[in-house]
Amino acid sequence: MSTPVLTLNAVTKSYGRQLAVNEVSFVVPQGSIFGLLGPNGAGKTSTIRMITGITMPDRGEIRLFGEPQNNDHQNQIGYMPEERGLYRKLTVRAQLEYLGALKGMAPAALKESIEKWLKRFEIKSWEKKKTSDLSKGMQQKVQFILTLLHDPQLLVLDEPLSGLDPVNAELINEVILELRTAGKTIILSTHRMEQVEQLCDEIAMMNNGKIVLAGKVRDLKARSGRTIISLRFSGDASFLKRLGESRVKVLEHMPNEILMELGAGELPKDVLRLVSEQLDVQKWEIVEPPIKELFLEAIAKQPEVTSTL
Amino acid sequence: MNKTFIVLKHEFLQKVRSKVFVIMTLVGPLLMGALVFVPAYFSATNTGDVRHLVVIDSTGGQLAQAMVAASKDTATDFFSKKFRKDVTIEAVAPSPTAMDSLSKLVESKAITGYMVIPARAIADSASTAQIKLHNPSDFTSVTALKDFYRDAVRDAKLRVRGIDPSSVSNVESGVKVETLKVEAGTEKKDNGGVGMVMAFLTAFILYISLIMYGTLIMNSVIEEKSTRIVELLASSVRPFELLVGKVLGVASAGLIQVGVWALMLVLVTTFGLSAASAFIGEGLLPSISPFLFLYFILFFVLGFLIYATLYAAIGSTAESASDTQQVSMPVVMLLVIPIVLLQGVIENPSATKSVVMSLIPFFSPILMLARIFTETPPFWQIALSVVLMIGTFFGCLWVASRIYRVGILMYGKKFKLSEIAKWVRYT
Repeated sequence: MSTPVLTLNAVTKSYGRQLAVNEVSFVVPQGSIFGLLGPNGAGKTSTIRMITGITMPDRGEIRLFGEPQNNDHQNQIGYMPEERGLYRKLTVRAQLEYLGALKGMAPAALKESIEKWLKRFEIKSWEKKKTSDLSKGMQQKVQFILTLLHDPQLLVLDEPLSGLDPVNAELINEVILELRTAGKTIILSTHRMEQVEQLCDEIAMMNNGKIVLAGKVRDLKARSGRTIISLRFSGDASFLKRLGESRVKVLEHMPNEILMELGAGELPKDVLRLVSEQLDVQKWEIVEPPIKELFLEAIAKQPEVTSTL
Repeated sequence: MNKTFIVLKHEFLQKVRSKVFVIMTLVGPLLMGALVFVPAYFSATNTGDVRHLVVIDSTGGQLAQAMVAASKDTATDFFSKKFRKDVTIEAVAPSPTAMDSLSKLVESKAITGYMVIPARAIADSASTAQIKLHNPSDFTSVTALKDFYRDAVRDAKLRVRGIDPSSVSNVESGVKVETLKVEAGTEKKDNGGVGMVMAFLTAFILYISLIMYGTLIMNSVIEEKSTRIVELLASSVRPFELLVGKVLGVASAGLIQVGVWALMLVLVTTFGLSAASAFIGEGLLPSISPFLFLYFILFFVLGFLIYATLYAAIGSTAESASDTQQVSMPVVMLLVIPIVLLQGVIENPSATKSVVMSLIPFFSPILMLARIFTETPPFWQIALSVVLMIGTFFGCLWVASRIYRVGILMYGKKFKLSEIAKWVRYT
């Protein structure tokens, strides 16, 4: 097994009396897409700021590429912050040149890389424009190029899709998958579960500054032992709720589709029989629990903690 | 390449390439010259309104007559000439209704004002004359009336004592004093005015450029913070490197600008003033030693580094310039205090108070420089202030970098000074 790209070992960070990250440990294997999940205020951004070397942990250890974290590692990390920003009065090219140089790139390599990405994102003709003259979608592309410019080994993307139009969102998903194929490691912080389902190999879920669940997405789903059924139907499904949550718990209810969890000891075939008596069943599928469900379950199990010191 | 240097280069080129910078560098001295010379020219040539003044003399009319005569006299010196050109004085005999009708004339602005001289003005030193004006701040009218009245009363008192006033003015005119500046074994003619003017001029140039460049650097920090690009910067460079690069980059740009200005001034004082002194009079405007400009540059650079660092720290606590007022107050005060003290220090450059104040590193750029221009202090004092300023710069840098490091990542509210003070102690 190759050296993990990133290891967090009991990392703790507080701001004043606020405990933002509490004894967080996880490992990000090389070449994976790693999802860092959790609600707002869970400590994701604080964790990311330590990984990217913006802040230092109060306690605990961060290892990058097999060695203790140091300043040079910043050159190997591409970071896309949740709050995006560019110099408004600089041209696209000047912007890329300055921030590329700050990532330690030599002028020749930087120039080549700028050309490559401007072409890839089809904004070459805009390179001499000031950022303030660009559309929002264009600015997002520039922002993404800033993340990739220096060919980082590790990408840290904080809510990469927030505020993106569908075309750019698709483009970013595409590039993320390409980068993984090229052997790069990607940390994706998000609360958008569909992106996690679509992309992530491994996840760590945070809540109140702590990791509540971590591991390979496949394993976590298999281990959950929950029986979840996706049902498409026509008719009135309100009788399901009357069965009581100990037998059938409705997780999602759309007009003609239901996602439901069976209680312990309930057999799918029994429930199917019951349902077919009442409804015209068009689809009946036993599915893996969605990550959202795993997350809600993990939070429910977490003892009530206060996040202040 | 060192990242501090990359930031420095970027900041420097950004400033130097901007149109405002180029224009200010070339036109700045003209503007500053205009700032000094236009008001002087304006007040020297202000023939504008002639003041119509009236005197009611209850002593019997001799004082009023003397004042009217004096106002028509062709005087020799510059200031009296100016007054006499701007002022006409008329005598009116005292009568019960005279004051009322004159007051009405003042109200309708038919006359500028009038003076009431009491009956015992000559006999009783305690008696007080009154000047009644539409605009009591009219310096020209007040000064003219006061001066003419004082001279008239003095002459009248002399006559009472049997002394001929003209013999007194004869005696007075025989007194001539010349000031010489003693320095390094030489004595040269120096009326003190040049040193004083230079001290004021450099103090204001420093004050304006320190605030200007301080604000410039503060706004650049605020911009990076409010556009959130700072988070990207902080993931590439250590905040300390960012801060130092920024301060040094803008300082280099500032130095070039002020250097160009200083060079222009040196050229003007060496070549231009020798031509000008042919008109104004030898010795009044001696050429200014280029050596003094080296001091000026040195104190500018050190003052710049101290204040730019502080302003950068202030910028990091805010998301818009309007949020910085409370936090920047202490720094502005540090610049205002030496300006307030300036006059006193220039008049008495070697007094203990002046020495102490000029050694306080935050005041040194303005006050030590003022002392250098007026009465060059002992070298050890200059050296000490330079050492203290360098030390203070590193102290400020330490504090500022700790504030900056935390501040650039703090969003969403205005911070109080007490909160910011806590950031310095964060690990």
